[in-house]
Parts: sequence; C-alpha cells; structure tokens
Amino acid sequence: MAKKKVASQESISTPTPPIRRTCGAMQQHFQLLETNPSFRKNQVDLEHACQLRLRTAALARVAPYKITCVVHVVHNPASSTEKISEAQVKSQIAVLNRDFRATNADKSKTPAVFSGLVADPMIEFALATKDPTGQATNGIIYTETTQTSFSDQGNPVKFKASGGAAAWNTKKYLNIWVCTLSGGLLGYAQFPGGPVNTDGVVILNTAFGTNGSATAPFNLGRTTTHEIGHYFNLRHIWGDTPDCSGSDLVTDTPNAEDANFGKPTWPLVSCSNGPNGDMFMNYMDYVDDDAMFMFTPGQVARMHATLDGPRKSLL
Amino acid sequence: MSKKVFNVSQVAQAWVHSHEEDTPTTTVYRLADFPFPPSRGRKGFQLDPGGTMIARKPGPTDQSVKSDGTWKLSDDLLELSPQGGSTQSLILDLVEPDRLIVQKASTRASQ
Ligand SMILES: [Zn+2]
Repeated sequence: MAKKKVASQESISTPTPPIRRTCGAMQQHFQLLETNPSFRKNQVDLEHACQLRLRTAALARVAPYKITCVVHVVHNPASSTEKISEAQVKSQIAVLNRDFRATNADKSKTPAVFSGLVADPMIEFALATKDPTGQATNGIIYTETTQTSFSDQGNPVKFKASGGAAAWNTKKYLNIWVCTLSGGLLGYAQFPGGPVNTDGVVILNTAFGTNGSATAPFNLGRTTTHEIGHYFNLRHIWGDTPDCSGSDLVTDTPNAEDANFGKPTWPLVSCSNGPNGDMFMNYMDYVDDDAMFMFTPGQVARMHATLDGPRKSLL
Repeated sequence: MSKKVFNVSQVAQAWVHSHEEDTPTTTVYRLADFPFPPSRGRKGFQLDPGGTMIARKPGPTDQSVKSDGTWKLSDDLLELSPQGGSTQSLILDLVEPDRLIVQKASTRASQ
C-alpha cells in the first residue's frame, strides 16, 4: 500500500524516473567513493543486503526505533566557546527528535509537488543514562584538549593519543563528537560497515544545536541531521558525481547534478529533472539549515534497512 | 561571442569553490587561503604550472577526498582530468589575482 502511493507520487514529481543501477554499476560506484578496500567490500555487501531487505520489507513500522547517544564535547580550555553547555546539547537532541519523526514545523515549506514525499523516519534519540560500565551518566562527556582544531582526515578527534576522546562501544551507542573542525568543515560521518572504533558522526561546535555557540546559517541543528542520515546509510541527493551519472540509490528523489548551497529558490532544474527540479530541501543536500526539512519514503526505507541490518545492535 | 584568452601563469594557483559568491550563471573560486565561512564541503583544484593538479571534493560522508591528475588550458577552456575520473571542461569567464570565475555548464548550453 505505502509502496504504491510512493510510486504514483514519484510519477508526478519525477517525469523521467532515475535509472535503477545494476549491481555491477553499484560496485563501480563504490570503488569511486571508498579508498579503503575492506570498507568498500563491506559497503557493496551491505548494499546487496539493503536492496534485498527493501524488496522483502512490507509493513510500515509502528513503534519508533530508539537510539542511545553519547556526545563527546572535545574542547580547548583556552577557548571560551568550545565547551558547549548541556542546554546546547539538549537542543540538538530535540532537533533530531523532530527531524527524524517529521514533526519539524518547517516541513510546511516543502513545495506542493514534493509535499506527498515528506516521510517520518520513526527514529527517536536520547542521551545515554548509563555508560559502558553501567554507571549513571547524562550522556555528555567533556574532554579537554590542547589541540586548536581537528582535521577531517584520520579521525584525530576520536583518539586520546591525538588529543581527542575515545568512542564508547559503537555497537551500542551513537557516538557524536563535537569539536572545532579545521578548514571550516561543518561535519562528517561514517557509513555502516566501517571500522568500529571510529564509527559515529563529528560536528563543528558552532553548528551543533540551536542555542549557545550555534551560528547562522547553521544554527538549526541540521548538520547533525544530515550526518546521521549518512550514518544510517543515506547518500547525497546528487549522487556524489559532478554530473548526472551518480545516484543516491533512492528512487523517489529526482536525479540531480551537483550539491546546492545557500537558500535556493524553487524550482532549480538540473539533469533534465524539470519542471520540479532538484529536491534541494532534502536533508541530504548541502543547503543552509533553514532550507532543508525533509526525508523521502525511499530514504526512510534505506534507514530502516540499516537499522534492521548492520546497525541492529544499537536497538 | 568573442573568445577570451587566459594564460597558464594566471590560472596556475590553488582554487577553492566560494559557493556563497556563485550567481545563476557563474561559479566563483577563490585562492585556498581566502577566509571562507563554514561549509558542508568545498571542491577545489590546485593547478601546478607544469600541468599536474590535485583536485579535492567533499566525499560521500563529507570528508574531503583528494585525487591527483592533470590539467590543460587553451584560451578560455580549462580541462581538469583527475586520475580514474572523467575530464571536466570549464569555460573561464574571468581570472583575477584572487578570483576565478567559471561559466555554469547549463548557461553555456543555452548560448
Ligand atoms: Zn553529506
């Protein structure tokens, strides 16, 4: 039933449906994207399993998935802003609980042609109340560092030896590191199937939550929404190629050429996807926080396949 | 339309996409040391006068991904050829000491 509805909406919003990729093409896609051979193999295997689950999963989910989070705030005492408050962390968790339940008020800004594609991922988040040894915690761990910023290469923020904080059991907790990232990067993530000791997401402290040091245009917590989308195996809406050949492996998002930035005006046509154009208001594009406000049923199905598969141990 | 001519010495720099400055018809690049505001990711290319280059772009989980390659300039046509990737052809509109402006492909097709 749900599936049928999606298909009819898709025919309205995307007159030319994206080409479904074969496994061979998929493998090539991953070879372009991943440099670590074993991670690449895992990704290909997971994709096959994901596609199989998508074909067999029939019923809509009735109870939400519950994810336990630990937030590692890695801060330099010389900075007056890096040690973000508990209130700022909680404001981020509140955003996740709106965006991953499609209760965010700004979803009303979705253009009418896409509004039928706004889907509820049925995923809820809570800060940990017990640490890995069973001790009580509020789920926010402050770690002092002598580093002034952390690179996105080599994951220094995730290891004590490089001035960061070690992950809590990544099979049980969604690890969120909050720090100053070098080069002005807002955040990055890790797909399922990667190394266990680096699993999780990393977010720039000024793009985390909605109060305190959070700074416009990235002060609505959407960087974390986007990165957790990757953590649940979602890909960028434009398919990670600077042309029309890439796919996000989801059929209800229009094929798009490249990342969009800022606050685009609808419609924005690329890759012959007119008249409705790019779904730039999707969380998996690169627009400002106040310009993104939806996941599609196809993306939700991928996230559920991840939570029923490689990330099942979180539940 | 008269063709613009640029030379290698103007273009051989490290350029990074300054997407905040893009217009509907142009893509703007700045030198790598430009004080860019935070971003979900930026693409760029470091062009060596000898014809080699290092291209960078946001990867599938937003970490920057680097690839080596070569580049070629003829008049206003800048061709970037990353290893193992397809050649990207850019039509240059303007090159200043601190700014490089490229015509958007969609604009080019309609001309
Ligand atoms: Zn991303």
